[in-house]
Amino acid sequence: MSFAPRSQELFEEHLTSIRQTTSRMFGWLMLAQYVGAIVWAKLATPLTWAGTQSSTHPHVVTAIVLGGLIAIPTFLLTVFKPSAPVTPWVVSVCQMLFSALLIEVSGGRIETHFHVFGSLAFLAFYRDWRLLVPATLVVVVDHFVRGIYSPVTVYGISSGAQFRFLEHSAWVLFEDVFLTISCLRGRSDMKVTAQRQFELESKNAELNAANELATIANLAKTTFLSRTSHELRTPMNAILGFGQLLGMTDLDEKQRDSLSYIMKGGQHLLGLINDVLDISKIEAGALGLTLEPVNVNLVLTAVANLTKPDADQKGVGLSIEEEGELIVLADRQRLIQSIFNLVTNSIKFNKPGGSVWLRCIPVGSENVEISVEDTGEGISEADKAKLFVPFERLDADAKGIEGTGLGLVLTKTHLEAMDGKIFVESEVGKGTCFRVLMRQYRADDPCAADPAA
Amino acid sequence: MTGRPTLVVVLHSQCPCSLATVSNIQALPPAVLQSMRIQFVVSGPDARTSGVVENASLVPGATTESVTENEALRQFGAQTSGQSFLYDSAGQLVFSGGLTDSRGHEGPSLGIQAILDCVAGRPCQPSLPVFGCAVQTPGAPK
Repeated sequence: MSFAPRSQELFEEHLTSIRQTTSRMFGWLMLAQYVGAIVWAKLATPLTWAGTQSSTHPHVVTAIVLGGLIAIPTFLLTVFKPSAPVTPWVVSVCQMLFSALLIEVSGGRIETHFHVFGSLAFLAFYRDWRLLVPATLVVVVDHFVRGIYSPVTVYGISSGAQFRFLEHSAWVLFEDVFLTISCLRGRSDMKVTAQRQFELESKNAELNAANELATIANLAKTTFLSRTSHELRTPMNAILGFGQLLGMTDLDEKQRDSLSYIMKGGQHLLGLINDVLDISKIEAGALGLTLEPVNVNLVLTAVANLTKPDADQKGVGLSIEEEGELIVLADRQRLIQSIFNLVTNSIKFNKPGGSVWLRCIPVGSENVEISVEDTGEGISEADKAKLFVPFERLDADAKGIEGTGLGLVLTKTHLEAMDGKIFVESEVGKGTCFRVLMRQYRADDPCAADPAA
Repeated sequence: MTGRPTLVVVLHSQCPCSLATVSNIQALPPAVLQSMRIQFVVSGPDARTSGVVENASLVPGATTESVTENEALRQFGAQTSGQSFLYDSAGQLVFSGGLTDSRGHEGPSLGIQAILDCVAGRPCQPSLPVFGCAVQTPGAPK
Protein backbone atom coordinates (compact mmCIF):
# COMPACT_ATOMS: atom_id res chain seq x y z
CA MET A 1 0.00 0.00 0.00
CA SER A 2 1.53 3.35 -1.02
CA PHE A 3 1.32 5.70 1.92
CA ALA A 4 0.80 9.30 0.91
CA PRO A 5 2.36 12.08 3.04
CA ARG A 6 -1.12 13.21 4.07
CA SER A 7 -1.95 9.65 5.14
CA GLN A 8 1.21 9.61 7.23
CA GLU A 9 0.17 12.92 8.75
CA LEU A 10 -3.28 11.56 9.63
CA PHE A 11 -1.69 8.42 11.07
CA GLU A 12 0.65 10.51 13.23
CA GLU A 13 -2.27 12.66 14.38
CA HIS A 14 -4.15 9.56 15.44
CA LEU A 15 -1.11 8.21 17.28
CA THR A 16 -0.64 11.51 19.08
CA SER A 17 -4.29 11.48 20.09
CA ILE A 18 -3.94 7.92 21.42
CA ARG A 19 -0.74 8.85 23.23
CA GLN A 20 -2.46 11.81 24.84
CA THR A 21 -5.55 9.88 25.94
CA THR A 22 -3.59 6.87 27.21
CA SER A 23 -1.07 9.01 29.08
CA ARG A 24 -3.86 10.86 30.84
CA MET A 25 -5.47 7.58 31.84
CA PHE A 26 -2.13 6.36 33.19
CA GLY A 27 -1.74 9.62 35.12
CA TRP A 28 -4.98 9.05 36.99
CA LEU A 29 -4.12 5.39 37.42
CA MET A 30 -0.84 6.44 39.02
CA LEU A 31 -2.67 8.59 41.53
CA ALA A 32 -5.16 5.80 42.26
CA GLN A 33 -2.33 3.31 42.72
CA TYR A 34 -0.50 5.70 45.02
CA VAL A 35 -3.53 6.20 47.23
CA GLY A 36 -4.36 2.49 47.04
CA ALA A 37 -0.84 1.47 48.10
CA ILE A 38 -0.91 3.78 51.11
CA VAL A 39 -4.39 2.62 52.18
CA TRP A 40 -3.42 -1.01 51.73
CA ALA A 41 -0.22 -0.63 53.73
CA LYS A 42 -2.02 1.27 56.48
CA LEU A 43 -4.74 -1.36 56.74
CA ALA A 44 -2.62 -4.49 56.38
CA THR A 45 0.57 -3.53 58.22
CA PRO A 46 0.07 -0.24 60.03
CA LEU A 47 2.67 -0.85 62.75
CA THR A 48 5.69 -2.93 63.41
CA TRP A 49 6.37 -3.99 66.96
CA ALA A 50 9.48 -4.63 69.02
CA GLY A 51 8.40 -5.73 72.44
CA THR A 52 6.24 -2.97 73.82
CA GLN A 53 7.31 -0.39 71.30
CA SER A 54 5.60 0.15 68.00
CA SER A 55 6.52 2.23 65.00
CA THR A 56 5.15 2.84 61.55
CA HIS A 57 5.61 -0.23 59.44
CA PRO A 58 8.25 0.07 56.70
CA HIS A 59 5.56 -0.83 54.14
CA VAL A 60 3.64 2.34 54.98
CA VAL A 61 6.77 4.45 54.65
CA THR A 62 7.63 2.74 51.37
CA ALA A 63 4.14 3.33 50.01
CA ILE A 64 4.18 7.01 50.95
CA VAL A 65 7.75 7.93 50.03
CA LEU A 66 8.72 5.63 47.18
CA GLY A 67 5.15 5.60 45.85
CA GLY A 68 5.12 9.40 45.82
CA LEU A 69 8.47 9.58 44.08
CA ILE A 70 7.18 7.34 41.32
CA ALA A 71 3.56 8.48 41.04
CA ILE A 72 3.59 12.25 41.49
CA PRO A 73 6.16 13.20 38.79
CA THR A 74 4.52 10.75 36.39
CA PHE A 75 1.10 12.20 37.12
CA LEU A 76 2.35 15.74 36.54
CA LEU A 77 4.02 14.72 33.29
CA THR A 78 0.84 13.10 31.98
CA VAL A 79 -1.19 16.17 32.94
CA PHE A 80 1.11 18.81 31.46
CA LYS A 81 2.82 16.88 28.65
CA PRO A 82 0.39 14.09 27.74
CA SER A 83 1.34 14.04 24.07
CA ALA A 84 5.09 14.52 24.47
CA PRO A 85 7.00 11.62 22.88
CA VAL A 86 8.92 11.00 26.13
CA THR A 87 5.78 10.62 28.27
CA PRO A 88 4.90 7.02 27.28
CA TRP A 89 8.45 5.90 28.02
CA VAL A 90 8.37 7.45 31.47
CA VAL A 91 4.93 5.94 32.04
CA SER A 92 6.18 2.55 30.90
CA VAL A 93 9.09 2.52 33.37
CA CYS A 94 7.19 4.08 36.28
CA GLN A 95 4.17 1.85 35.93
CA MET A 96 6.35 -1.22 36.25
CA LEU A 97 8.25 0.35 39.15
CA PHE A 98 4.88 0.76 40.79
CA SER A 99 4.19 -2.90 40.21
CA ALA A 100 7.44 -3.66 42.02
CA LEU A 101 6.45 -1.34 44.84
CA LEU A 102 3.03 -2.95 45.24
CA ILE A 103 4.64 -6.39 45.35
CA GLU A 104 7.01 -5.14 48.03
CA VAL A 105 4.23 -3.48 50.05
CA SER A 106 2.12 -6.62 49.87
CA GLY A 107 5.01 -8.64 51.30
CA GLY A 108 5.72 -10.43 48.03
CA ARG A 109 2.21 -11.78 47.55
CA ILE A 110 2.10 -13.77 44.33
CA GLU A 111 -1.40 -12.38 43.62
CA THR A 112 0.09 -8.88 43.41
CA HIS A 113 2.20 -10.02 40.47
CA PHE A 114 -0.96 -9.85 38.37
CA HIS A 115 -0.44 -6.10 38.49
CA VAL A 116 2.54 -6.62 36.19
CA PHE A 117 0.43 -8.37 33.56
CA GLY A 118 -2.38 -5.83 33.80
CA SER A 119 0.09 -2.97 33.45
CA LEU A 120 1.71 -4.49 30.36
CA ALA A 121 -1.71 -4.92 28.75
CA PHE A 122 -2.57 -1.33 29.58
CA LEU A 123 0.72 -0.16 28.04
CA ALA A 124 -0.37 -1.83 24.81
CA PHE A 125 -3.06 0.88 24.59
CA TYR A 126 -0.28 3.08 23.20
CA ARG A 127 -0.08 0.74 20.18
CA ASP A 128 3.69 0.88 20.43
CA TRP A 129 5.37 -2.45 21.12
CA ARG A 130 8.68 -0.73 21.88
CA LEU A 131 7.24 0.51 25.18
CA LEU A 132 7.03 -3.08 26.34
CA VAL A 133 10.83 -3.33 26.22
CA PRO A 134 11.73 -1.00 29.13
CA ALA A 135 8.69 -2.25 31.04
CA THR A 136 9.83 -5.84 30.70
CA LEU A 137 13.40 -4.92 31.59
CA VAL A 138 12.22 -3.27 34.80
CA VAL A 139 10.31 -6.40 35.75
CA VAL A 140 13.17 -8.75 34.94
CA VAL A 141 15.85 -6.68 36.67
CA ASP A 142 13.63 -6.14 39.73
CA HIS A 143 12.87 -9.84 40.05
CA PHE A 144 16.48 -10.78 39.47
CA VAL A 145 18.01 -8.35 41.97
CA ARG A 146 15.40 -8.80 44.68
CA GLY A 147 15.36 -12.54 44.03
CA ILE A 148 19.00 -12.61 45.05
CA TYR A 149 19.12 -10.02 47.81
CA SER A 150 15.60 -9.97 49.23
CA PRO A 151 13.50 -12.80 47.79
CA VAL A 152 10.88 -12.53 50.51
CA THR A 153 9.92 -9.05 49.24
CA VAL A 154 9.22 -10.25 45.72
CA TYR A 155 8.23 -13.91 46.04
CA GLY A 156 7.06 -14.01 49.65
CA ILE A 157 9.58 -16.67 50.60
CA SER A 158 13.05 -16.32 51.90
CA SER A 159 14.89 -19.04 50.11
CA GLY A 160 15.16 -20.92 46.88
CA ALA A 161 14.13 -17.90 44.86
CA GLN A 162 17.32 -17.03 43.04
CA PHE A 163 16.16 -18.44 39.73
CA ARG A 164 12.46 -17.77 39.98
CA PHE A 165 13.02 -14.56 38.03
CA LEU A 166 13.52 -16.78 34.99
CA GLU A 167 10.06 -18.29 35.35
CA HIS A 168 8.44 -14.93 36.02
CA SER A 169 10.31 -13.31 33.14
CA ALA A 170 9.24 -16.09 30.80
CA TRP A 171 5.57 -15.44 31.59
CA VAL A 172 6.07 -11.75 31.06
CA LEU A 173 7.69 -12.44 27.68
CA PHE A 174 4.82 -14.78 26.87
CA GLU A 175 2.41 -11.90 27.34
CA ASP A 176 4.73 -9.53 25.48
CA VAL A 177 4.50 -11.68 22.37
CA PHE A 178 0.73 -11.29 22.15
CA LEU A 179 0.77 -7.65 23.10
CA THR A 180 3.38 -6.97 20.42
CA ILE A 181 1.21 -8.68 17.81
CA SER A 182 -1.76 -6.68 19.06
CA CYS A 183 0.20 -3.40 18.82
CA LEU A 184 1.41 -4.17 15.30
CA ARG A 185 -2.08 -5.07 14.12
CA GLY A 186 -3.48 -1.97 15.76
CA ARG A 187 -0.98 0.21 13.93
CA SER A 188 -1.72 -1.56 10.69
CA ASP A 189 -5.45 -0.89 11.14
CA MET A 190 -4.70 2.72 11.95
CA LYS A 191 -2.71 3.05 8.74
CA VAL A 192 -5.58 1.64 6.72
CA THR A 193 -7.94 4.09 8.41
CA ALA A 194 -5.57 6.98 7.71
CA GLN A 195 -5.29 5.96 4.06
CA ARG A 196 -9.08 5.76 3.74
CA GLN A 197 -9.52 9.11 5.42
CA PHE A 198 -6.98 10.61 3.04
CA GLU A 199 -8.83 9.13 0.07
CA LEU A 200 -12.09 10.49 1.41
CA GLU A 201 -10.56 13.92 1.85
CA SER A 202 -9.21 13.79 -1.71
CA LYS A 203 -12.59 12.79 -3.09
CA ASN A 204 -14.28 15.55 -1.14
CA ALA A 205 -11.81 18.08 -2.48
CA GLU A 206 -12.44 16.84 -6.02
CA LEU A 207 -16.19 17.02 -5.51
CA ASN A 208 -15.95 20.51 -4.07
CA ALA A 209 -13.84 21.64 -7.02
CA ALA A 210 -16.28 20.03 -9.47
CA ASN A 211 -19.21 21.61 -7.66
CA GLU A 212 -17.52 25.00 -7.80
CA LEU A 213 -16.90 24.60 -11.52
CA ALA A 214 -20.48 23.52 -12.07
CA THR A 215 -21.75 26.53 -10.13
CA ILE A 216 -19.59 28.86 -12.21
CA ALA A 217 -20.72 27.14 -15.41
CA ASN A 218 -24.36 27.36 -14.36
CA LEU A 219 -23.98 31.02 -13.55
CA ALA A 220 -22.38 31.61 -16.93
CA LYS A 221 -25.22 29.73 -18.61
CA THR A 222 -27.80 31.76 -16.70
CA THR A 223 -26.09 35.01 -17.59
CA PHE A 224 -25.85 33.92 -21.21
CA LEU A 225 -29.52 32.93 -21.34
CA SER A 226 -30.58 36.14 -19.70
CA ARG A 227 -28.57 38.31 -22.08
CA THR A 228 -29.50 36.27 -25.15
CA SER A 229 -33.17 36.36 -24.24
CA HIS A 230 -33.04 40.13 -23.91
CA GLU A 231 -31.28 40.41 -27.26
CA LEU A 232 -33.84 38.09 -28.90
CA ARG A 233 -36.88 39.78 -27.42
CA THR A 234 -36.07 43.21 -28.83
CA PRO A 235 -36.01 42.13 -32.53
CA MET A 236 -38.93 39.77 -31.86
CA ASN A 237 -41.02 42.66 -30.55
CA ALA A 238 -40.06 44.59 -33.66
CA ILE A 239 -41.14 41.70 -35.89
CA LEU A 240 -44.47 41.36 -34.10
CA GLY A 241 -45.05 45.12 -33.98
CA PHE A 242 -44.37 45.62 -37.63
CA GLY A 243 -46.38 42.48 -38.39
CA GLN A 244 -49.38 44.06 -36.64
CA LEU A 245 -48.85 47.27 -38.60
CA LEU A 246 -48.62 45.22 -41.77
CA GLY A 247 -51.91 43.57 -40.87
CA MET A 248 -53.60 46.95 -40.88
CA THR A 249 -52.72 47.51 -44.54
CA ASP A 250 -54.51 46.18 -47.56
CA LEU A 251 -53.32 42.65 -48.04
CA ASP A 252 -54.74 40.00 -50.27
CA GLU A 253 -55.83 36.71 -48.78
CA LYS A 254 -52.58 34.89 -49.51
CA GLN A 255 -50.50 37.68 -47.98
CA ARG A 256 -52.78 37.75 -44.89
CA ASP A 257 -52.35 33.96 -44.48
CA SER A 258 -48.58 34.33 -44.67
CA LEU A 259 -48.66 37.17 -42.16
CA SER A 260 -50.72 35.07 -39.74
CA TYR A 261 -47.99 32.38 -39.84
CA ILE A 262 -45.37 35.03 -39.09
CA MET A 263 -47.44 36.43 -36.21
CA LYS A 264 -48.24 33.01 -34.76
CA GLY A 265 -44.61 31.84 -34.96
CA GLY A 266 -43.38 35.12 -33.56
CA GLN A 267 -45.76 35.01 -30.58
CA HIS A 268 -44.74 31.45 -29.81
CA LEU A 269 -41.10 32.42 -29.96
CA LEU A 270 -41.71 35.48 -27.78
CA GLY A 271 -43.47 33.30 -25.17
CA LEU A 272 -40.53 30.92 -25.18
CA ILE A 273 -38.06 33.77 -24.79
CA ASN A 274 -40.07 35.21 -21.91
CA ASP A 275 -40.17 31.85 -20.13
CA VAL A 276 -36.44 31.30 -20.58
CA LEU A 277 -35.81 34.80 -19.29
CA ASP A 278 -37.94 34.07 -16.23
CA ILE A 279 -36.08 30.83 -15.55
CA SER A 280 -32.79 32.67 -15.87
CA LYS A 281 -33.93 35.27 -13.40
CA ILE A 282 -35.05 32.61 -10.95
CA GLU A 283 -31.75 30.75 -11.20
CA ALA A 284 -29.85 34.00 -10.78
CA GLY A 285 -31.99 34.83 -7.75
CA ALA A 286 -33.12 37.99 -9.49
CA LEU A 287 -36.82 37.30 -9.64
CA GLY A 288 -38.39 40.56 -8.51
CA LEU A 289 -41.81 40.35 -6.88
CA THR A 290 -44.11 43.12 -5.79
CA LEU A 291 -46.49 41.77 -3.21
CA GLU A 292 -49.77 43.63 -2.93
CA PRO A 293 -53.43 42.90 -2.25
CA VAL A 294 -54.83 41.26 -5.36
CA ASN A 295 -58.50 40.64 -6.08
CA VAL A 296 -58.67 36.97 -7.07
CA ASN A 297 -62.04 37.39 -8.78
CA LEU A 298 -60.51 39.94 -11.11
CA VAL A 299 -57.54 37.66 -11.76
CA LEU A 300 -59.81 34.80 -12.74
CA THR A 301 -61.85 37.03 -15.00
CA ALA A 302 -58.71 38.35 -16.66
CA VAL A 303 -57.37 34.85 -17.21
CA ALA A 304 -60.71 33.67 -18.55
CA ASN A 305 -60.79 36.56 -21.01
CA LEU A 306 -57.27 35.83 -22.15
CA THR A 307 -57.85 32.10 -22.66
CA LYS A 308 -61.44 32.14 -23.94
CA PRO A 309 -60.45 32.39 -27.62
CA ASP A 310 -58.30 29.24 -27.30
CA ALA A 311 -61.03 27.46 -25.33
CA ASP A 312 -63.64 28.38 -27.95
CA GLN A 313 -61.35 27.28 -30.73
CA LYS A 314 -60.95 23.85 -29.10
CA GLY A 315 -64.61 23.61 -28.11
CA VAL A 316 -63.85 23.58 -24.39
CA GLY A 317 -66.27 25.20 -21.99
CA LEU A 318 -64.71 27.68 -19.56
CA SER A 319 -66.56 28.77 -16.43
CA ILE A 320 -65.78 30.64 -13.21
CA GLU A 321 -67.22 29.73 -9.80
CA GLU A 322 -66.63 32.18 -6.95
CA GLU A 323 -67.64 32.55 -3.31
CA GLY A 324 -67.66 36.27 -2.71
CA GLU A 325 -64.83 38.69 -3.18
CA LEU A 326 -61.45 37.27 -2.14
CA ILE A 327 -58.24 39.22 -1.79
CA VAL A 328 -54.82 37.60 -1.56
CA LEU A 329 -51.35 38.93 -0.99
CA ALA A 330 -49.47 38.35 -4.26
CA ASP A 331 -47.62 39.82 -7.20
CA ARG A 332 -50.52 40.60 -9.52
CA GLN A 333 -48.68 39.94 -12.79
CA ARG A 334 -47.09 36.69 -11.55
CA LEU A 335 -50.38 35.41 -10.15
CA ILE A 336 -52.15 36.08 -13.46
CA GLN A 337 -49.26 34.37 -15.29
CA SER A 338 -49.43 31.34 -12.99
CA ILE A 339 -53.19 30.87 -13.27
CA PHE A 340 -52.98 31.55 -17.00
CA ASN A 341 -50.42 28.72 -17.35
CA LEU A 342 -52.69 26.32 -15.50
CA VAL A 343 -55.79 27.24 -17.54
CA THR A 344 -53.85 27.12 -20.82
CA ASN A 345 -52.69 23.60 -19.97
CA SER A 346 -56.23 22.55 -19.01
CA ILE A 347 -57.45 23.70 -22.40
CA LYS A 348 -54.51 22.28 -24.37
CA PHE A 349 -54.75 18.86 -22.77
CA ASN A 350 -58.55 18.76 -22.83
CA LYS A 351 -60.74 17.14 -25.42
CA PRO A 352 -63.30 18.90 -27.60
CA GLY A 353 -66.54 19.26 -25.66
CA GLY A 354 -64.65 19.15 -22.37
CA SER A 355 -64.83 21.68 -19.56
CA VAL A 356 -62.53 23.82 -17.46
CA TRP A 357 -63.63 25.32 -14.15
CA LEU A 358 -61.90 28.19 -12.41
CA ARG A 359 -62.85 28.38 -8.76
CA CYS A 360 -61.87 30.42 -5.76
CA ILE A 361 -62.99 29.71 -2.21
CA PRO A 362 -61.85 30.84 1.22
CA VAL A 363 -60.03 28.22 3.32
CA GLY A 364 -60.49 29.19 6.94
CA SER A 365 -59.77 32.80 7.70
CA GLU A 366 -56.16 32.69 6.57
CA ASN A 367 -56.06 31.27 3.07
CA VAL A 368 -57.72 31.27 -0.33
CA GLU A 369 -57.83 28.29 -2.65
CA ILE A 370 -57.79 28.88 -6.39
CA SER A 371 -58.44 25.74 -8.38
CA VAL A 372 -58.33 24.92 -12.07
CA GLU A 373 -60.17 21.70 -12.85
CA ASP A 374 -60.54 20.09 -16.23
CA THR A 375 -62.06 17.05 -17.86
CA GLY A 376 -58.88 16.17 -19.75
CA GLU A 377 -57.06 12.88 -20.02
CA GLY A 378 -55.63 13.05 -16.52
CA ILE A 379 -52.07 12.41 -15.39
CA SER A 380 -50.66 9.09 -14.20
CA GLU A 381 -48.89 8.84 -10.82
CA ALA A 382 -45.55 8.35 -12.57
CA ASP A 383 -46.03 11.47 -14.68
CA LYS A 384 -47.08 13.57 -11.69
CA ALA A 385 -43.50 13.38 -10.41
CA LYS A 386 -42.25 14.90 -13.68
CA LEU A 387 -44.77 17.73 -13.84
CA PHE A 388 -42.54 20.38 -12.35
CA VAL A 389 -39.30 19.34 -14.06
CA PRO A 390 -37.96 21.97 -16.53
CA PHE A 391 -38.47 21.11 -20.23
CA GLU A 392 -40.32 17.92 -19.27
CA ARG A 393 -43.30 17.76 -21.60
CA LEU A 394 -44.56 14.26 -20.84
CA ASP A 395 -46.14 13.07 -24.10
CA ALA A 396 -47.15 16.53 -25.37
CA ASP A 397 -44.69 16.39 -28.25
CA ALA A 398 -46.20 13.13 -29.49
CA LYS A 399 -49.64 14.68 -29.41
CA GLY A 400 -48.49 17.77 -31.30
CA ILE A 401 -49.33 20.09 -28.40
CA GLU A 402 -47.26 23.26 -28.42
CA GLY A 403 -45.30 24.42 -25.39
CA THR A 404 -41.84 24.80 -23.87
CA GLY A 405 -42.10 22.60 -20.81
CA LEU A 406 -41.38 25.59 -18.62
CA GLY A 407 -44.90 26.75 -17.75
CA LEU A 408 -45.54 24.58 -14.68
CA VAL A 409 -41.98 25.08 -13.44
CA LEU A 410 -42.45 28.83 -13.54
CA THR A 411 -45.91 28.57 -12.01
CA LYS A 412 -44.69 26.56 -9.04
CA THR A 413 -41.64 28.78 -8.53
CA HIS A 414 -43.68 31.98 -8.75
CA LEU A 415 -46.35 30.70 -6.37
CA GLU A 416 -43.83 29.51 -3.81
CA ALA A 417 -42.00 32.83 -4.07
CA MET A 418 -45.34 34.46 -3.16
CA ASP A 419 -45.64 32.16 -0.11
CA GLY A 420 -48.18 30.02 -1.95
CA LYS A 421 -48.43 26.31 -2.58
CA ILE A 422 -49.60 24.20 -5.47
CA PHE A 423 -51.10 20.70 -5.34
CA VAL A 424 -52.24 18.43 -8.11
CA GLU A 425 -54.94 15.76 -8.09
CA SER A 426 -55.59 13.71 -11.15
CA GLU A 427 -57.21 10.56 -12.35
CA VAL A 428 -56.35 9.10 -15.72
CA GLY A 429 -59.35 9.33 -18.06
CA LYS A 430 -61.29 11.69 -15.79
CA GLY A 431 -59.36 14.89 -15.49
CA THR A 432 -56.98 16.96 -13.41
CA CYS A 433 -57.38 19.58 -10.74
CA PHE A 434 -54.60 22.00 -9.75
CA ARG A 435 -55.18 23.65 -6.38
CA VAL A 436 -53.31 26.81 -5.47
CA LEU A 437 -53.29 27.92 -1.86
CA MET A 438 -52.52 31.59 -1.25
CA ARG A 439 -52.48 33.64 1.91
CA GLN A 440 -55.52 35.82 2.30
CA TYR A 441 -54.82 39.54 2.52
CA ARG A 442 -55.31 41.06 5.95
CA ALA A 443 -55.83 44.67 6.78
CA ASP A 444 -52.61 44.79 8.78
CA ASP A 445 -50.49 43.59 5.84
CA PRO A 446 -48.04 46.34 4.86
CA CYS A 447 -49.47 46.97 1.39
CA ALA A 448 -51.01 50.20 0.35
CA ALA A 449 -52.22 49.39 -3.11
CA ASP A 450 -55.91 49.23 -3.88
CA PRO A 451 -56.93 45.58 -4.31
CA ALA A 452 -59.61 46.45 -6.78
CA ALA A 453 -57.25 48.28 -9.06
CA MET B 1 7.24 -33.02 78.48
CA THR B 2 6.69 -36.69 77.95
CA GLY B 3 4.12 -38.73 76.05
CA ARG B 4 3.27 -36.35 73.26
CA PRO B 5 5.27 -33.91 71.25
CA THR B 6 4.87 -30.31 72.38
CA LEU B 7 4.69 -27.27 70.16
CA VAL B 8 5.51 -23.97 71.82
CA VAL B 9 4.69 -20.89 69.81
CA VAL B 10 5.89 -17.49 70.92
CA LEU B 11 3.69 -14.64 69.71
CA HIS B 12 3.68 -10.89 69.97
CA SER B 13 0.21 -9.74 70.91
CA GLN B 14 0.11 -6.89 68.37
CA CYS B 15 2.08 -8.33 65.47
CA PRO B 16 -0.10 -8.94 62.37
CA CYS B 17 2.18 -11.84 61.48
CA SER B 18 1.09 -13.63 64.65
CA LEU B 19 -2.38 -14.12 63.22
CA ALA B 20 -0.96 -15.86 60.15
CA THR B 21 1.01 -18.21 62.37
CA VAL B 22 -2.09 -19.06 64.43
CA SER B 23 -4.12 -19.61 61.24
CA ASN B 24 -1.51 -21.98 59.87
CA ILE B 25 -1.63 -24.03 63.08
CA GLN B 26 -5.44 -24.04 62.99
CA ALA B 27 -5.25 -25.44 59.49
CA LEU B 28 -3.23 -28.50 60.55
CA PRO B 29 -5.07 -31.81 60.19
CA PRO B 30 -7.12 -32.67 63.34
CA ALA B 31 -5.13 -35.88 63.85
CA VAL B 32 -1.91 -33.87 63.98
CA LEU B 33 -3.44 -31.30 66.33
CA GLN B 34 -4.59 -34.07 68.66
CA SER B 35 -1.23 -35.79 68.54
CA MET B 36 0.64 -32.95 70.22
CA ARG B 37 0.28 -30.40 72.94
CA ILE B 38 0.22 -26.82 71.77
CA GLN B 39 1.15 -23.91 73.93
CA PHE B 40 0.99 -20.28 72.83
CA VAL B 41 3.23 -17.97 74.77
CA VAL B 42 2.05 -14.40 74.23
CA SER B 43 4.00 -11.29 75.14
CA GLY B 44 3.57 -7.62 74.35
CA PRO B 45 0.89 -5.03 75.13
CA ASP B 46 -2.55 -6.38 76.09
CA ALA B 47 -1.15 -9.89 76.02
CA ARG B 48 -4.26 -11.27 77.74
CA THR B 49 -6.93 -9.61 75.67
CA SER B 50 -5.57 -9.08 72.19
CA GLY B 51 -7.01 -10.58 69.00
CA VAL B 52 -3.98 -12.85 68.81
CA VAL B 53 -4.86 -14.43 72.16
CA GLU B 54 -8.50 -14.72 71.13
CA ASN B 55 -7.55 -16.52 67.93
CA ALA B 56 -5.03 -18.76 69.69
CA SER B 57 -7.68 -19.91 72.14
CA LEU B 58 -9.71 -21.25 69.23
CA VAL B 59 -7.08 -23.85 68.34
CA PRO B 60 -8.38 -27.19 69.66
CA GLY B 61 -6.51 -28.36 72.76
CA ALA B 62 -4.16 -25.39 72.84
CA THR B 63 -3.27 -23.50 75.96
CA THR B 64 -2.34 -19.86 76.08
CA GLU B 65 0.02 -18.24 78.50
CA SER B 66 0.76 -14.56 78.86
CA VAL B 67 4.34 -13.75 79.72
CA THR B 68 6.59 -10.75 79.78
CA GLU B 69 9.01 -10.30 76.96
CA ASN B 70 11.87 -11.15 79.25
CA GLU B 71 10.22 -14.41 80.25
CA ALA B 72 9.70 -15.33 76.61
CA LEU B 73 13.31 -14.55 75.91
CA ARG B 74 14.60 -16.27 79.01
CA GLN B 75 12.52 -19.42 78.77
CA PHE B 76 12.72 -20.06 75.05
CA GLY B 77 15.33 -17.76 73.64
CA ALA B 78 12.65 -16.36 71.35
CA GLN B 79 13.61 -13.18 69.53
CA THR B 80 10.83 -12.91 67.01
CA SER B 81 7.07 -13.27 67.12
CA GLY B 82 5.97 -16.48 65.45
CA GLN B 83 9.02 -18.43 66.55
CA SER B 84 7.92 -21.99 67.22
CA PHE B 85 9.65 -24.81 69.06
CA LEU B 86 8.69 -28.44 68.61
CA TYR B 87 9.85 -30.88 71.25
CA ASP B 88 9.49 -34.58 70.67
CA SER B 89 7.91 -36.91 73.22
CA ALA B 90 11.32 -37.25 74.88
CA GLY B 91 11.58 -33.52 75.34
CA GLN B 92 14.20 -33.02 72.67
CA LEU B 93 13.99 -29.88 70.52
CA VAL B 94 13.47 -31.14 66.98
CA PHE B 95 12.39 -27.97 65.24
CA SER B 96 12.84 -24.23 65.75
CA GLY B 97 11.61 -21.57 63.35
CA GLY B 98 8.70 -19.74 61.78
CA LEU B 99 5.54 -21.36 60.50
CA THR B 100 4.96 -18.81 57.70
CA ASP B 101 7.07 -18.36 54.61
CA SER B 102 7.10 -14.61 54.91
CA ARG B 103 5.59 -11.75 56.84
CA GLY B 104 1.94 -12.41 57.51
CA HIS B 105 1.58 -15.05 54.80
CA GLU B 106 -0.93 -17.72 55.60
CA GLY B 107 -0.95 -21.02 53.77
CA PRO B 108 1.39 -23.93 53.16
CA SER B 109 4.89 -23.21 54.37
CA LEU B 110 8.19 -24.90 55.01
CA GLY B 111 7.61 -24.51 58.78
CA ILE B 112 4.25 -26.29 58.70
CA GLN B 113 5.78 -29.02 56.56
CA ALA B 114 8.59 -29.41 59.10
CA ILE B 115 6.01 -29.82 61.92
CA LEU B 116 4.11 -32.44 59.90
CA ASP B 117 7.30 -34.34 59.14
CA CYS B 118 8.60 -34.21 62.70
CA VAL B 119 5.30 -35.35 64.22
CA ALA B 120 5.08 -38.19 61.69
CA GLY B 121 8.58 -39.29 62.55
CA ARG B 122 10.00 -38.39 59.19
CA PRO B 123 13.26 -36.50 58.75
CA CYS B 124 12.40 -32.84 59.18
CA GLN B 125 13.96 -29.44 58.72
CA PRO B 126 15.44 -28.56 62.12
CA SER B 127 15.33 -24.78 61.75
CA LEU B 128 13.83 -22.08 59.56
CA PRO B 129 13.78 -18.29 59.52
CA VAL B 130 11.06 -16.47 61.41
CA PHE B 131 9.09 -13.53 59.98
CA GLY B 132 7.50 -11.25 62.53
CA CYS B 133 7.93 -8.44 65.01
CA ALA B 134 10.71 -8.42 67.58
CA VAL B 135 9.69 -9.77 70.95
CA GLN B 136 12.20 -7.68 72.86
CA THR B 137 11.84 -3.95 73.33
CA PRO B 138 15.06 -2.26 72.15
CA GLY B 139 17.16 -1.13 75.06
CA ALA B 140 15.04 -2.91 77.64
CA PRO B 141 16.92 -4.70 80.43
CA LYS B 142 17.17 -8.42 79.82
